[in-house]
Amino acid sequence: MFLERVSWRASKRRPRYMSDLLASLAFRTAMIAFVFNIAIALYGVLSRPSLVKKFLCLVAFTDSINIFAVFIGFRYTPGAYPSPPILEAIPTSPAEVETLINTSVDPLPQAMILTAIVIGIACSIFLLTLILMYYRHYGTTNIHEAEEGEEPHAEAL
Amino acid sequence: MVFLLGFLPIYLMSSAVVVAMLSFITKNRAIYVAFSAASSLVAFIVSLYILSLTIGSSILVYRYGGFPAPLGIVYTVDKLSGFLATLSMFMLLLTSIYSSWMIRSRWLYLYYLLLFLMATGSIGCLYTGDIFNFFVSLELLAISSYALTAFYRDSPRAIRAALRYAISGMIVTSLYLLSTFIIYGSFGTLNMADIALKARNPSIPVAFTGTAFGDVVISSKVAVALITWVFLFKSAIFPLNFAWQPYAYSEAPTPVAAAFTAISDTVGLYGLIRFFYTLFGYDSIIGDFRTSILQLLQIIAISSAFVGALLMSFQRDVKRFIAFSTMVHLSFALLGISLGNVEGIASALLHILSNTLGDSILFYLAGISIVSCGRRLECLGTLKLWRISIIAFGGGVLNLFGVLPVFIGFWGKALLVLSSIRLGTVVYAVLTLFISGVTAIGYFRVLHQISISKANADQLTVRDVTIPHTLALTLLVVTIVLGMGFSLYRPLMDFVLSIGFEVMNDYSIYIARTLTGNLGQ
Repeated sequence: MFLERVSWRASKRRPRYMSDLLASLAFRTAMIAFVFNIAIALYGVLSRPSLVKKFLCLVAFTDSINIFAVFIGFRYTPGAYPSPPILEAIPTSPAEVETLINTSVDPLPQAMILTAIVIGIACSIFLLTLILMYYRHYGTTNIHEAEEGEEPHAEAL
Repeated sequence: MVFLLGFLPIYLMSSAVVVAMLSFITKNRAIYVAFSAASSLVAFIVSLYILSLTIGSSILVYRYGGFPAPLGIVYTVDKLSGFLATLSMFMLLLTSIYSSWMIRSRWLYLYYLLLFLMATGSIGCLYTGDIFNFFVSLELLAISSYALTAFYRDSPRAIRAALRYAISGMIVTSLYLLSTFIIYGSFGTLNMADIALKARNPSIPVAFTGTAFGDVVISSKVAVALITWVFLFKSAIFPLNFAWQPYAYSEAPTPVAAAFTAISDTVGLYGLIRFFYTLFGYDSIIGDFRTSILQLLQIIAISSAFVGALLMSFQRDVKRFIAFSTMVHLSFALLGISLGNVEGIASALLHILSNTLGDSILFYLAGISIVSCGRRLECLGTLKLWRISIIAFGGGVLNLFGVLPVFIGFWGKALLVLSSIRLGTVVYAVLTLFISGVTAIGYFRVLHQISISKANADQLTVRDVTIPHTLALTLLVVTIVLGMGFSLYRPLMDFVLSIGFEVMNDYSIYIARTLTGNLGQ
């Protein structure tokens, strides 16, 4: 799977440098943190009564998914730092293109994250506006408190 | 004429912007209404024309910016998406007209702005051939639906319904994004045709995207499992619909609630068809996993229809009643999709069609009683003041009940029963008929309620009901003409079955047309 795409070299081959070992360790830690982050954020959205806390957890949830996409685009080659996907010298030589292909990260997930972040901002602002209106109606953002004092047969068109 | 595919979403988006800009020039309601009705009529005609093109040349491909398929975003339209998009645009047209009667708010231009954005999202979802573009359109559709749900922002219940919808919807669309990333990580592509090709043969090299790598099976399974839940949420199927559907349907403005079915909910069912037939079909690498998911979906669909039918029969609020009726019909559509044969998919489409038409009749006429009396079921007695209302409402209910062959609703059920008998699972046919019988309690309870409630002509606040009556009668005539047409005119039935056949078998044409750049026209 995608996990192996990044870390297969570290597992199959004996790491040559201390930095490889550290990178592999950091990568695994980050992946575990990603999964835990998603779980905790979902728990927060589902169980916290305060709408503001729900909102914060929701933002954490979407952002952990965005960070996951960075891992998808990341390429780790032992002994070489990942480089940005940019050709520096123009006109270029075949050797430079080969280096670029071997070491550069995949730029497409970053473009996708950018789109997702922009959409997420629109969603967040809308949600905050709704929470503000909720606060104006009920005087609290705690859903349990708000629903206690509510009349049962309020009607709207 | 393939450029029309790219034209339609941009046209709808610019209509939205123009409505907003009109508000700087004039505050005249009639101008907003005239502009919206005219531009949605154009959109409807364009989508109808695109549907007619797909009948001729099967699959249309439009490349954005001229980039070839796996590299750029393409719009790929087959008969299925053309049909659903036409339905969506038809409802946009009706909603634009009906809103002029129903919505008295001074923010009418913002209402139309959101409506056009919702339609843009719907068209984008239905036409696109790229899963990330699908996500963007899904978010556009979702945000504008949340905002429309909260349109009556002075009502605390509307705000609560919108918050519920928005929070659960944001989780779900984020999960869709996650599965998009997982698919990209293992298939190396976002194009639907490319994924469909690699899901059948992971080692096949495609220009620009290469081959799939890593353990494609596990990542496909994870992605498909997540995506299934996303689409079940969007199409309001039982365990997930309580997150939003009854609340959003009952708190959104009435025309929008009528439009939700065709514009928003169908996108979920369309996504399921696309992912389970075109992308990950029966011969893909996760064929056995797909079979077991479809069997699970059959059970979910039956239980969802049953729960919906039960809940429908004791609602006191007319909008919630129609919401649960929608839930039953969409569950039947899901059952048709999960049965996995040609008749099943055709019946799903007919269920969507008949439910859209029947729901709109009910909502449009209930709008009269909601404006003049309230949302309680007893208020439907107001309709007794006009003979046309009673006829159209009764016709709409009978169409949804779907036992008389003169209505289109009958043919959806008939095909569903035929499909489950073809498959050898008679139990689903029996259960379908049984649940239809249970829905009769709810439907005839409403008719009974109308007959016993008193019509109070003195308290009536609305006098002019031409628009709801015209629209409801038009819809009733459409249901009857389609229903009679299916009995008498064989090519109609052949057309619906051919959509099912195309979805089941013609994925190779879909892939070839999209990837090889054979542009059809």
